[in-house]
Amino acid sequence: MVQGLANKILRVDLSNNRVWTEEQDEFFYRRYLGGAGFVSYYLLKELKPRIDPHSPDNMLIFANGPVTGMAIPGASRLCVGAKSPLSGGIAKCESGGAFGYELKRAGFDALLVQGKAAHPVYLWINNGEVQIKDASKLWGQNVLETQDAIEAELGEKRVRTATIGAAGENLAAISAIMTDVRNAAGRGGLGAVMGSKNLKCVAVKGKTMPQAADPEKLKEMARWMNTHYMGLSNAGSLHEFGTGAGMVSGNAIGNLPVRNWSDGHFDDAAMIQADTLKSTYSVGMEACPACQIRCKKVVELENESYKVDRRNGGPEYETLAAFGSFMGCNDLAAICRANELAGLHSFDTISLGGTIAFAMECFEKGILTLKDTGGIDLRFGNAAAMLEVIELMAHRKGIGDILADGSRKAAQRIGRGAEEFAMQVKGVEFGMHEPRLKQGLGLIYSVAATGADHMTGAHDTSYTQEGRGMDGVRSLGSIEPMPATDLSAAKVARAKNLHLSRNFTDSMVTCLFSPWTLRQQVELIRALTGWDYTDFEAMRQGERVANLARVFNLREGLTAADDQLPKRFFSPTPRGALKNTAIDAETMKRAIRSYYVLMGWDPVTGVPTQEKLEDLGIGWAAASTDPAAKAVGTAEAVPA
Amino acid sequence: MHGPLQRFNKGGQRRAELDVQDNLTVRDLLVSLGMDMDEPWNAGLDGTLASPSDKLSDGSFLMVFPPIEGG
Repeated sequence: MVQGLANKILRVDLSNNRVWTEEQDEFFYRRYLGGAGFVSYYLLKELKPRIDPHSPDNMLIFANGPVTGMAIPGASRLCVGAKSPLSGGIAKCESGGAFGYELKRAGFDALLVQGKAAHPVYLWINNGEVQIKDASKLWGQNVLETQDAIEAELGEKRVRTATIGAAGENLAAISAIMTDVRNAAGRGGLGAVMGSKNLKCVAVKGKTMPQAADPEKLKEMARWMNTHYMGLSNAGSLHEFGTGAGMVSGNAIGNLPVRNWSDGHFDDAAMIQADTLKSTYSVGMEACPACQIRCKKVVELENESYKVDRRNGGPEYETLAAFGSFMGCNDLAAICRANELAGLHSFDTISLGGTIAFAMECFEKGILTLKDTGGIDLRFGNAAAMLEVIELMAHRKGIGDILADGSRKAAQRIGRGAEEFAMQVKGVEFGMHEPRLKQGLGLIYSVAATGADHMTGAHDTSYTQEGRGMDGVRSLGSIEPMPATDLSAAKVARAKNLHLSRNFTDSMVTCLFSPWTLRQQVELIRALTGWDYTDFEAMRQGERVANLARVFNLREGLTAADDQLPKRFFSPTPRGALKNTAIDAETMKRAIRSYYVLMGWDPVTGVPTQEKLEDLGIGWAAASTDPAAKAVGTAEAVPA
Repeated sequence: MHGPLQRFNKGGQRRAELDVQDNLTVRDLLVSLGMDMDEPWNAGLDGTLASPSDKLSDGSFLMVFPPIEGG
């Protein structure tokens, strides 16, 4: 038994209507910790190789971190993972809200769902008691309708939920799982995995906080963070505007992505900025449990075209960019409505925006025609078209059926040269941060197991000058500022170490906006569990997750050939701050090779060595490093 | 100057026109405004990402803001 944890993992087999709990020993918890650690462990350990991600054999994992459920700022998030329908490799992402918090208080460190129900169901986890309930009447309802219906059926208020809408039900590979209606476990198509299991929703209620080894220390740390957070981070701006206060400034330095990465300047950045939102449609900010930053926007609007319900949340930076500059759209009301639709239908807004922008570019280049789009004028900037296509994608109608599985699969179906415009790595569309500017992030976009995932790498512009911004990297051995566009061996080392520290944070499942240092997170573990946990162990945890995820991907058929950026990033943007700046292809190749070497992987194939896996205490994973994967080739990810 | 850094600008305003000597660096300007240089910041100067040692000239447009990461 480990203090501070629930010490129970809930397992559900929907094929056989079976519910049971699993208990793991202390070695398991210390080695895999939680969150991303659990996801990467269970997927590699228990999934049969090369299954179809929609098959009942896939496992959907909802994983807490060790401090989830405690009254600690930033400790209420949830990690979700499975084999990805989008990449064919690992999908792992995090969402805010209170689901994770409640799941821990209901008595579980994680929920593992396997099998497929014979008809639509939902899980009701009520303070340790678990029921599989009929969801036939819920199937087809949107996420908000489902929330209301379940609360009414159960006679409960404030039930925390993880739910899919039409996109998940229709197995869209870019569908998300929505927690508490308006938070998204977005990346990698996890909504489709949930839909493939006929699982509409997981509803949870819990009230028992686990007992920490040193509860007074945890309280002291929480008090300290609540007193000091404003001065430590961007908390002030997040508190007032949420994310997205940096559209104009990002545009000024070339970070804001424009028109499917084809342009470098968006004239209307101010129209889609978070402070513009604050002065127009914002009706307040809300918070995850125990967090004082309160970064979550609440918006409400009604105009002659549509209305947006405040219960569906508001657009964050990624969404403002993805539905805004990335599609050439300056209509803030339409962006709010698109955000609402994405949530109601359970789409990942990043991949949704990325895929529609891809389609817009194809349309402007004549690769898609009005006949293909069913008469929709799908040019950049057409907000009405954007909204119409989102509905078609949710229900797989017309052009929506082609686009619902993301830009890579859409390009494969469309042909006619469309593949050049599918901006993705491993099938995963890019986070809204420009790799030609943030070149260390560009490296991580290339090599991360979850594809072009902006949350797995730290952002180069945060470490370009002296000051508190460097605090996050000095303790990792990188003590001097470096230019954002630097891609030297020293930058590769920094990017690698920051990626590992992110993997550790994703095992803790703590929020990156809550400015806990690595050392403080280690102190949280020590106070929670009584372990003599160290900074060294924390970085090893990050390394362990990277290696498990890498081995999983290799086993599933991804290779070093999948660690590459689209060609577009090797040319400058035609306008804007980066009109003379591109990624040098040879430099990036060298950087990827350096990354493999620093990780202790084969320098050509990127396959983790037996010795590296043994070093991390996961020698058992070596059995999954397929000899065939050692050959570098043009292998494609296993299609769904 | 954007976000919480706005408080360091002349009059606490978002935008201000400043008379400065030629060849003043970005860093020198921010120090002269009393900005806490320990606070995380980025700057765009005349349309590109600026470094602290970049020099200002007549007509320069400088934008200062907190670094942008996830979201």
